[in-house]
Amino acid sequence: MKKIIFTLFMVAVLAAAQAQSLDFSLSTSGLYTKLADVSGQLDQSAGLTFSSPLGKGWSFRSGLTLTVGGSYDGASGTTTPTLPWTLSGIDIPELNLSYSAPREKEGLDRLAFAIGRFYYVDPTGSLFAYRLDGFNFQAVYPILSLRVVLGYTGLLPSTAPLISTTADSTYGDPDFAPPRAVATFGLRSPRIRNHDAFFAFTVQEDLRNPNQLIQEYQTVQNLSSSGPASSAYLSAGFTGNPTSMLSYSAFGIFEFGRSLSYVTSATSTTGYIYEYAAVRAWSFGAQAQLALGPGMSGGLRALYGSGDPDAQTATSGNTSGNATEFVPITVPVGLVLSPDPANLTQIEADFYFQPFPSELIGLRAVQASSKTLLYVKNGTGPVSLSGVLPTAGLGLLGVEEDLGGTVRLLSDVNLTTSFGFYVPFAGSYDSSYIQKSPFGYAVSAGLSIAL
Amino acid sequence: MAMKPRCVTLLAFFCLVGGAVAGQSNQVMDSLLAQPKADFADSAYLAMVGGGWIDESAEPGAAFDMAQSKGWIGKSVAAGDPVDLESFCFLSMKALKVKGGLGWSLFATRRYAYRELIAQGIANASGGPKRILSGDEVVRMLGKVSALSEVKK
Repeated sequence: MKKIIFTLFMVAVLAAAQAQSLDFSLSTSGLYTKLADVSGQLDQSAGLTFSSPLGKGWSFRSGLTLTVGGSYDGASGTTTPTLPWTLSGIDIPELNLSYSAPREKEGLDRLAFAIGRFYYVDPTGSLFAYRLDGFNFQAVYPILSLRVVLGYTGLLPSTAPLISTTADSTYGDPDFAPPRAVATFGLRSPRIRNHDAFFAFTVQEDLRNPNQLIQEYQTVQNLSSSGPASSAYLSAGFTGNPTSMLSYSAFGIFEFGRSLSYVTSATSTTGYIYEYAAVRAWSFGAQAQLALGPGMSGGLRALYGSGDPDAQTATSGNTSGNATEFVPITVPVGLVLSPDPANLTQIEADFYFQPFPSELIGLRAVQASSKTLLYVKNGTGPVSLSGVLPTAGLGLLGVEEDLGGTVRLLSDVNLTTSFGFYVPFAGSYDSSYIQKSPFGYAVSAGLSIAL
Repeated sequence: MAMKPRCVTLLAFFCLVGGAVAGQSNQVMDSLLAQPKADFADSAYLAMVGGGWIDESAEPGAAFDMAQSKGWIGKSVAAGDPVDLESFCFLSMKALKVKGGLGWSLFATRRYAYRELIAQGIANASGGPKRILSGDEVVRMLGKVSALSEVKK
């Protein structure tokens, strides 16, 4: 059924070839990563993007990317090809009909909505930041802005950065992401003295067949599966830019709901039973961005996610009391590490530098960036990084440094390179892991042509 | 006393294009700056004089005919038709012999002229490639394209 729907998506994309604006891009990219094991990826992709303004605020956009390449996973020693005639080599980044216009007669500063596949970032930027298939509605009134998003994840590619529970890794469809419904209701205040506040309620509902998941009251532990990945979140925060040079924001997220937990039971024959426990988890974040001059800026970010000392993994497996691990819906993807936020505090400092005027083309048209990430384990309990001891308490896990550069060789040809390395600190890691992998690194390079 | 925007625009154009049109009558420039929808003839005149294809004493109609005969203006276009952004990007890049990116070097069509000047920050993409230009915008764009041409020589 999913493949039929996906084929219909493809037909819709191709039908959009009549669009007024058509962009074609070619990109070559390579990534080599060495952590405990080596992994690598080399891809050549061709992308088409169609855009049609339909008038009176309506527009239609769609895109199609075909990729040929392959990846190597050193842990399993397997090489996986990516072929453009298989689902893993076909991607539809965008496909939507949208409307955006002022509606003064209805008392609206702006009414906007999109139907189809669109990119959505929740107001905190930490809960959900990826594509979604569904409906995105926004009404901006003079005193309040309202947003409603309803979406489905089951037609997204399997590479979508949705946080996977143990059950997701054994779920049977290798081409698509785990099927979940995601819904958000958000309110944002008008800007007063360059500041505004927001509030949002977000839920995700696991749509997998319950029979494929661990059942409540099951007494035998199953480490290869887990309960449903359903969760709810209340988030609130503010953003501000008191001067044109400075912007900042801060937010808090409270995760609640229930999580299937393997807890002790006097009535069970094994002494344990799967029962639902309340989820009470938190995340806090703050960031500031400062423009330091023409073509130069710096930023600081901090992100905290609560952990659970008695959990079995960084996403599930509570064994006592409330489940207190913070598990968002998507996870940010980094160059060397992409850890789940549970039981971690991430402190990031970045610097962006463009030494020459932006309109330059050629070898002098370089943009350079540096990002330093410090990972701190908040307390005992698991984190999603390999080799970290769950028994280790509060302490520094390691530091990552990413350096990047982009050169605009021609107005339509860009060369991008990145190099990152991660140094783990011995205190929180298994000593055998540190011996095997005293540091990790990743190198990536890409050449893109937009025609 | 502050200079009027039109005077600033004229001064900028003369500075950028330099001597190519310095000695000519302001008649064409005045005509163009007064046009809320720039016509092809006056736009072609400035571009062709700026590129050294015709003498500044020539008539706008002659400039238009020459540009059309070279294929830089569509055959179905009349001298009095309003000029759209994509067509003017193509005309100005051809007339001023501007080098561009890979797309322009390979295909040299209106599409890639438009994309090149968008990428260079010279053309304003809002409104799309078929947006009709004002005379003022034609003069400003031509000054920047001329500067780009000088840089790349």
